[in-house]
Amino acid sequence: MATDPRDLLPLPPHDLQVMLTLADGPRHAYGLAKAVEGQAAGGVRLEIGSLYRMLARLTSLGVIDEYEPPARETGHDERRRYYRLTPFGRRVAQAEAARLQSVLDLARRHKLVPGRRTP
Amino acid sequence: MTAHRPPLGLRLLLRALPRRFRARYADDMAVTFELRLDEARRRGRLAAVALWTRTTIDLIGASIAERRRNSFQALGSVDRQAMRPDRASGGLVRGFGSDIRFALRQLRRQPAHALFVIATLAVGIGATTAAFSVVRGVLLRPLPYPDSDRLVAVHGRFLPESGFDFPSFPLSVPEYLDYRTQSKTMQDVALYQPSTATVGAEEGDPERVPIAAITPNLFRTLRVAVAIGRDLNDADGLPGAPLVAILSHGYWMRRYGGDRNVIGRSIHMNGVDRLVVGVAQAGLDFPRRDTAFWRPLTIDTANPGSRQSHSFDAIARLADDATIEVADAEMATVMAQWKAEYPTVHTGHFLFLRPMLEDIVGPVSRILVLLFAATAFVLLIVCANVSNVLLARGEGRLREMAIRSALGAERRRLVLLASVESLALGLLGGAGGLGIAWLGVRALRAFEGSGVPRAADVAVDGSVLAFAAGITLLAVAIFGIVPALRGSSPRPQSALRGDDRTSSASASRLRVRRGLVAIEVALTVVLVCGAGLMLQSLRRVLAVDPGFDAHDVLLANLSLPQTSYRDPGRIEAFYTELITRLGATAGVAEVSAGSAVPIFSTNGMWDFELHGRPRPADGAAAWNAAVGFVRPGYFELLRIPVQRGRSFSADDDMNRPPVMIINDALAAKFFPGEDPIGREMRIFGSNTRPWATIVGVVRNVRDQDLETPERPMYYLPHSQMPVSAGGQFGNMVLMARLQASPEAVTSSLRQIVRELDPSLPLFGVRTYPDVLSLSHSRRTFATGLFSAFAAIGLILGATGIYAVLAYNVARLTPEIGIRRALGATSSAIFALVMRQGLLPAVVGLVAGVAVSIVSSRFLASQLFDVSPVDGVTYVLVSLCVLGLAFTACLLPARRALRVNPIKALRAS
Repeated sequence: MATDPRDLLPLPPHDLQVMLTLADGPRHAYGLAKAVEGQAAGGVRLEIGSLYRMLARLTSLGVIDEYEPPARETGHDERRRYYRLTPFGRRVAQAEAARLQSVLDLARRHKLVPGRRTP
Repeated sequence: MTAHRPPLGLRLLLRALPRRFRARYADDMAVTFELRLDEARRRGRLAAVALWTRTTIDLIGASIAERRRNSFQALGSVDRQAMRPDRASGGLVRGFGSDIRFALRQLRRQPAHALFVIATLAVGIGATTAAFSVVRGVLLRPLPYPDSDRLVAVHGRFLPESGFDFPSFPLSVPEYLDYRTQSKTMQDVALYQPSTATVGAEEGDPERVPIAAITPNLFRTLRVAVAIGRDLNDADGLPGAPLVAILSHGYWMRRYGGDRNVIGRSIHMNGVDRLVVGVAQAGLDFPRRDTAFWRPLTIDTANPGSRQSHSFDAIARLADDATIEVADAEMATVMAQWKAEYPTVHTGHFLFLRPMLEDIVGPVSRILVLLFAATAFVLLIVCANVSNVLLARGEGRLREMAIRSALGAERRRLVLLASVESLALGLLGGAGGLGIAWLGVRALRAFEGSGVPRAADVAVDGSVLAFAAGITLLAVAIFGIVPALRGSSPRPQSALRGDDRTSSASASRLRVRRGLVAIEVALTVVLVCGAGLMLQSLRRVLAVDPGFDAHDVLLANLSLPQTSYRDPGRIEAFYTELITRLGATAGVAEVSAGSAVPIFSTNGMWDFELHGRPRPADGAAAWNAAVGFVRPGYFELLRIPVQRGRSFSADDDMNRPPVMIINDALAAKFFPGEDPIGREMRIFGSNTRPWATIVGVVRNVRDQDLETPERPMYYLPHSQMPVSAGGQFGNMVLMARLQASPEAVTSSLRQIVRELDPSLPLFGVRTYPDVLSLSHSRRTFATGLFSAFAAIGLILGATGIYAVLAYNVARLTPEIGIRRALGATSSAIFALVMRQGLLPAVVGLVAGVAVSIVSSRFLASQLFDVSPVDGVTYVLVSLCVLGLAFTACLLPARRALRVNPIKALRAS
């Protein structure tokens, strides 16, 4: 398992999207997939094979882990598993966001992207 | 919360995942999938199918990728690799899923293309699979008896030196007894004789059912069991034994409702009571599908009858240590013995063996294999077309492929990418094809008129599914290989520059596509020639003049049981009354009857004698001809002209001198150059029979079927049968020329028969046109299928020609512009384009015709009155194909003519 968040950068796009979604709170795999689909500009669908492979990979890197919901609500399938961002994962997401921010700044400076007026 | 099992399909797919992964995630994956499925179902069935398809492909890809990842990890590669985007080395692993997604996206973007490819693949794979089902179910599947490959049929053969010419003929009882005793290679030999019986009125309405008379050892020879009661034993076959019968399982269920107490009851058949002693096992369809019951043949070994009374079919089972070759050798020896012992009977006449399966399906094996070959052709044409479509689409993605290539993707990857798309199309086409095949098999089973034996048992079983899977993969390999290789051509610079249209790579691609078109056309030509020859044959069959006219004649079978109609004159009285009453019915113009009615029923060949001419000394009985016993008005009703002399009249009855009418063929063969009127003939068999005077000569008719030529035939008045034949037929075919609808006349007829004798069943009521079309239904069916395949080939071929030429014209637009600018005329441009388009078609046509001519001998046995190298057919086919190619080229050619030279030059 990596210990320094920066070792995992740059993140593949899907991974970042998943981590951003989980930043709001734990989700079930189905909810994650729908959120990623909604967000991504390409509107790519994640079918269960690719989705769970990604979850397995992120788990093995320590970025996310599985999570038992505390209360049993009626109607919830007992087989459901939930995933949440680990503290380490949170740091990784922050590091990647920072990296992207610096890339964006650089692009602005080189006039590749319309800039915000910096004070 | 109740335990809930995910769908079977999903469970199977999840099993492909590595064990650890599955143990951890499979349950959750199932839940997620079900949520997705509910959502998709709400959007519609198509969405659900799309989801299943995507998930299947995704899971297969994920399984492969995850397993490879596991093996990489086992080799010690760093975890870090897993997080990296595609690099050339590890990229193959992670990118697989995205490749599949990409391929599916591409397909979705051009649904028309994808649908066309999938639809044509489904047709090609479906047709081939259906044909394989039939070949497997009819020709390859063993008969449903234990060790059925050791069962053989025994037939007689007459060579012309015997005076007859019959490749296959029944046996006589003495021949059977002798062979059974003398053969050491057979463990048992049994006789059977199919017939029909009227089953008695006590147990319900009288009905007419197929039955068979069998020697008591038949079931034992087949090694089939009796489900209830007992099998026949040798005592049942002795003269004077009590009359018994064994019911078939189907008949027992149908008529007795499966009542086990049927044993010991009696069944009234053909006027006599028989004791039911057993019920056969389910599924026994010997000798034909719906045999209702079997009764024992009575054989008196002391008095077995004439060696030349050939009335029975025979089967035998090889001894455990014998092979059919050994049995054949033994047969030759035994036949030599018989010839020495009975020289008059066995000159040019001997027995021979044939494996039982071959005996049953032999007549159709050739045509079924030909039809299977035709479907294979269709599939090849489909593959060529699909390949062309994929190549054309590949053009459009050159840019994208070039970028990938420039960015470092290996050729291997690009090939894989193209292959994935082909595989996806192939799998979907294969699934569609399986559906088509299943429907086709169901249709064949339901359609009884196909004339194919064992058709009712054809099914889509495991071997058919395996075949479908195999043929799908083969098709994918065939059509996918060329686009995959072409699409990964490693020359990105020109593609990126954008002048891919005129590059040499593009020209070579065009050559490939035109080559494919030529192949398609060649295959289509072979198919269309075959179909054309068969259509010609069918036309010739339908154009045959059968020698009679019966377009508005109704036929009905009547069978008078011997027991109640034994009194001489009763049969005569019955038929006279019946015909009079029917003739007086409204809607009936003429009525008559005969024991032999052309195409519908024959009496076989009977020997005869000529007065004043001794019968030839050698040869079994060289004088024989087809016979018919007819009522007055027979020839008039059927419009068979009397060429000489007179027809029969009501005066030709029992009290008058016996008379006879012969046909032209018999007159030509036995009275060449003389006038047969006044000469005398009689049926061979008894010296005390009076001679009958020939009073008329009628024209020949095709009495067996439309394809078999006319043969010598003689007719006697039915009324005179007791004198001329020693007994009178109670079974006759009634004929009525209609002025009203067949249904109305049929019900009048039933009413009359009921009034005359309520216990008589009226059966086999049909119109003559129906009889005629049934007689060639097998040919019609096969011809129809061939034509359908040829039509599919033509459509696909035309589409292929058009598509390639359209692309070519687009590609050549700058060149056309230049030519125009330099002053080329419209006709020159037109000629240029047409030449381009027609050249592959012409090459294909020539190749196809050559292949057809060479391979036509395979079709020869199926043709009627048409040579396999029939010039007219080939010319017509060539014109048709050329015409179609020409039409397909017209639209692109017109587009070429409208090219504006300025615009074209600007764009290049």
